[in-house]
Amino acid sequence: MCDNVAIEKQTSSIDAIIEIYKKDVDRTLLRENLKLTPSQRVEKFGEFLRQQAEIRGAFQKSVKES
Amino acid sequence: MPSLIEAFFPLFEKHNVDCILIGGWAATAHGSLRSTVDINFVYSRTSDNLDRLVTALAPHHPYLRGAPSGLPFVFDQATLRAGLNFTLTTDIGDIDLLGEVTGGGDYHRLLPFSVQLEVLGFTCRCVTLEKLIQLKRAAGRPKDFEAIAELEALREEREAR
Repeated sequence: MCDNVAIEKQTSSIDAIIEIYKKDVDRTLLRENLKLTPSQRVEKFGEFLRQQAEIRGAFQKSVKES
Repeated sequence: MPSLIEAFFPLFEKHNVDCILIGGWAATAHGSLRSTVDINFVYSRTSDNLDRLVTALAPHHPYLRGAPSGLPFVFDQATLRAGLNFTLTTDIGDIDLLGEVTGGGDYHRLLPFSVQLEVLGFTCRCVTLEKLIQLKRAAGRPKDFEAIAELEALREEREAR
């Protein structure tokens, strides 16, 4: 069973690496996001993806036309 | 186009599919700002649930993601029984169906570490933030380090509130 993987609470080099990455996390954005409900976060992200797809589509269209 | 959550949640709710949301969309629900392109579920492998899963997804033409077209892949209970983890494309988006996940085990082992999530009027079980961090850590993939850092920062921010 793959859930037998031991997840020990001891410090490892991975923790040190994650701590380095953690310094770059923009916590102001996280705090704002935490004010939303899970449903609102999912909805917001879905909307972001839709807009991203729209921009991607518009760009591809302009490349084809040029 | 509906998001993957909007596509799969109503389907799984309608057909009473026992599954738990993990991965990027679970992270989003918990407050992550990182992007993801597929959706990941750990599904129950009971016979009844496999039937429900097939009924829910088969009309959307699941196919092995990344495999050459034209393979005789059939999304039915026999196929699900013969395999465990499936990465699929469908008409409504890409989905990973996992019978087991490293660090979390199967659906029944993961169930106590999940919460009921109501999203856009639909309900689904979602892995807890704590367990999600454990799963990411257990996977041991360098590409997840940034995601783990963000999830741990989220946990700290949540605890500080």
